[in-house]
Amino acid sequence: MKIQHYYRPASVDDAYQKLIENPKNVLLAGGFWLKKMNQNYDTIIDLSSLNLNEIHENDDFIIVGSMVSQRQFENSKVIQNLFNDMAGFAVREIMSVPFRNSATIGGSIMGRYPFSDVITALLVMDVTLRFYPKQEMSLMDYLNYKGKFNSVLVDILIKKEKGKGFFKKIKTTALDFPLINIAISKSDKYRIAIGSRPMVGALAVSAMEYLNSLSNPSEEDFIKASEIAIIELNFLDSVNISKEYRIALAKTYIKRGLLEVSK
Amino acid sequence: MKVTFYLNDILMSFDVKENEYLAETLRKSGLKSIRLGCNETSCGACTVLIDNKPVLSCGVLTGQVDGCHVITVEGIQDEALKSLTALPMKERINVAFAMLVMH
Repeated sequence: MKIQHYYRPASVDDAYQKLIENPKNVLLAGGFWLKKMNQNYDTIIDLSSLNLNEIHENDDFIIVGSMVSQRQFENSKVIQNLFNDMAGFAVREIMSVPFRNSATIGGSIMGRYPFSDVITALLVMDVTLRFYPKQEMSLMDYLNYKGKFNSVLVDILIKKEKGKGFFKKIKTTALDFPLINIAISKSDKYRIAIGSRPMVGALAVSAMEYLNSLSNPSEEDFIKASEIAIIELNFLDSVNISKEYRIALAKTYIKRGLLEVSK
Repeated sequence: MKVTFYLNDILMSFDVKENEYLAETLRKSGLKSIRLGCNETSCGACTVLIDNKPVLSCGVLTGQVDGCHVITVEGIQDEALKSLTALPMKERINVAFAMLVMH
């Protein structure tokens, strides 16, 4: 990574104005992934001094600042109380504590990384992203958005819901990227997301619709839902795992997850 | 670019490149406890405390720590020595051997 200028904005508006000034300007959150990019940037805009690193809650939402570190997120009591700490568990599986002290939730989302555990876990919750200038969109819409997104992510709104959650990340070693990750939640309805296929996490919409149309799904229904999910989402080979093995893992863990959240 | 931060409780200023990482700055300043092992934010050999939190210094741009408190192993020598002397002799030998291997 090459940088010409380092900029510390005084406000979110200042950061935004700087971002749109030049297409080669880039926002700096945790910065770990930027390091691996072989690119030339004009100005790197450091968001660390904008007080975006707090977690608040109101009656309906948990409001996570975009610069909240993964470590803050996993240790937050309000996050731990949501879907039996599924999102906290997903984050806790990422690399090491020193890594998670720098990596941010906003950075994990904005990068739309195919291997992201954070995205897969958040997909099975009701999540809205709030950007500057005024714009709100669901996490799913953001993931489907094509092209560069020239706004500053300010915070992540997670709707407070009561329910159970399940997260499974399969990896070869403790510090490795996931071969596949699966998140399932059940509040008033079932939600299933699969990531690292090796594409970015996505909801298995047809499988969810099938389950949510049933009043009291049985184990056979869960198996059928897992079969629908592996047909509707794309799975591919990668260096360390075949497409067939990915599908077999997904099918197994979707069923196990559904059984767990339905208990 | 000028960056000022507390290094082992002493306020210091550094002239650094915009894309210089903290591990590089610290090693250039003579603090050799920071190891550039993988240099890919995996191994942890470059860990320092930034505002009392362990962080991988090979993944943090020096500009990001402006105004922060950075502590390296050199800054906690007294505590390390106290911890070491509290150990039984056999354990002390194990630690000394491990350190020799690391060097």
